[in-house]
Amino acid sequence: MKVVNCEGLVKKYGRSKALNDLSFQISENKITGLIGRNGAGKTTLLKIMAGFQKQTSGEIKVFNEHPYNSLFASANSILVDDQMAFPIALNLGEVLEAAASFYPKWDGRLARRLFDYFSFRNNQRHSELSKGMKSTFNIIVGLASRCSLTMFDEPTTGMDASVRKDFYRALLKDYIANPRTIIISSHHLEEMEDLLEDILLLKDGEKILHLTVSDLKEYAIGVKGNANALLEWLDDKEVLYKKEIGTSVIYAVIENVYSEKIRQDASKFGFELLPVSSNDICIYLTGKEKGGIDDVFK
Amino acid sequence: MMSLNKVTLEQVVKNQFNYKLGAYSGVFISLIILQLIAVLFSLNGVGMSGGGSEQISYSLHYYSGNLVFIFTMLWVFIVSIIITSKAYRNEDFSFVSNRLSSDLSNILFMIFISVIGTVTALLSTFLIKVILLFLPKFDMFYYSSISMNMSNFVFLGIVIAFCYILIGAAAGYFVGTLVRLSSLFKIMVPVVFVGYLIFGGMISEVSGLATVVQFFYLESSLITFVLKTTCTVMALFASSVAIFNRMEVRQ
Repeated sequence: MKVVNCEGLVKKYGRSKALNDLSFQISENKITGLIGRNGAGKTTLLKIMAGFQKQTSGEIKVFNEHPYNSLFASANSILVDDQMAFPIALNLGEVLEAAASFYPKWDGRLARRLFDYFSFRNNQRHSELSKGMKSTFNIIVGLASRCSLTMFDEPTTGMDASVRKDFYRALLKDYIANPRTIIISSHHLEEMEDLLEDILLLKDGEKILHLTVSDLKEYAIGVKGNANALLEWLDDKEVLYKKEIGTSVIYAVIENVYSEKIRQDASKFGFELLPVSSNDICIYLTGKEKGGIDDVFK
Repeated sequence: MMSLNKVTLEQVVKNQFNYKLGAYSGVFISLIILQLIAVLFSLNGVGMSGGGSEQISYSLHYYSGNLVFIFTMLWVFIVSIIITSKAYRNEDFSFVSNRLSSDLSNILFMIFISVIGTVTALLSTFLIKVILLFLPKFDMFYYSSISMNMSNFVFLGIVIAFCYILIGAAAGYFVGTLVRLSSLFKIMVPVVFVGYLIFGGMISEVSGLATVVQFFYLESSLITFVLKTTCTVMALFASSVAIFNRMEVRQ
């Protein structure tokens, strides 16, 4: 059974399209990274999956139900983001108790241990916490709820590096102990890469790629070599990125199709082949056509 | 195969209601403070007359618990608007919820606080009497509750007061929900309400307020009155549910 099934999803805000004809499926017990630039539609997609917003057209099913207004989908999914709000009248300890009453699979022990580890106190209020502390607390709720579909939208906002590391580790350990479908949207792909199985790459509300992380690493390859020879060779190829190094050397990233041919050519023309990190591939694929930030200052 | 949680609407509404009793507990403190203020104001009395001859003189002071009751009605009206605000709705959707369950638990909560408000408002009349008893200027008490025995008076009082307070809750919830629909309503609703109903009535006779008040206030049959309020309250709640059902949350 597919946990999320999305067909031709469109979401419009006024005249602009946040999501444009998006189709994908997410299967059970996978950790998927939702990657894209600011404004690519990540948050909108998650909110539609969580049933908070309604699509303009197209079809989305979560656990075979339309998530909008579905109690069943709501009981089996949770969206952790910085808009999670908790009542001012309740302290953190009481919020955890309330959460336990809503989620049948709530893991009180895990919640308590994480709560203590990140040195929260029962009598603190959610509204008094710092940005990073809020994110950390929301994540505790998200992990302990044990929902079959757990979604994190930029979960590490405001967290310092060591808490981020702890979070990734906690997520992985808990996932191994209790496998479930997890979707994380983030800018920090390089940090999470080892955690993810699949990557769903969005650009301007459209799907660019939906691949496993290992396939993504094979998706492109970097070539470095003499400018004239390389430019000529690149002529008939899909160039994702190009950079001049010094005056006579060029570094280019191309799609890794016919990799055998690329390797033969490289040894023939004396090009150097370099692997490209998946983070860089994502950046190149979602880059603007009109060059980089340097062009603004030209 | 993953094991999925099965939930029923009743279960979720019950959970949310219990959650809201704790989460919204702040409203009760405001009720206590408001009713105390109203009691204090009520000690001024609503009127006085006097007379006498050579042998005797008397003065009549009239007191009423109506102010407490009006404060309570306004309180429940405003609380109902507040619980439709974005922040409160987002709190619902941090946990398991859909729009209907959020509405139903809110309605249960409003009925609950209306009961509390009614009972405390009625009890406050006794508080007023006790305080007056200790004020030096009195000799005797008369009840103006005419030809009615006490238990009948309390029963009727509770039912009628509860009906009015519930109308306040339903109206507040409707206004609150309507206002969230579009920022246009944020301006339109208060202007139309204050302008047409209140100032319209003061300046010329265009106001519909009199008709609305007459519809409830001049009803002499208890059963018809209760029926009228029930229908009004249900219509207001149903419209609120219908409006909110189409609204997006956590934006």
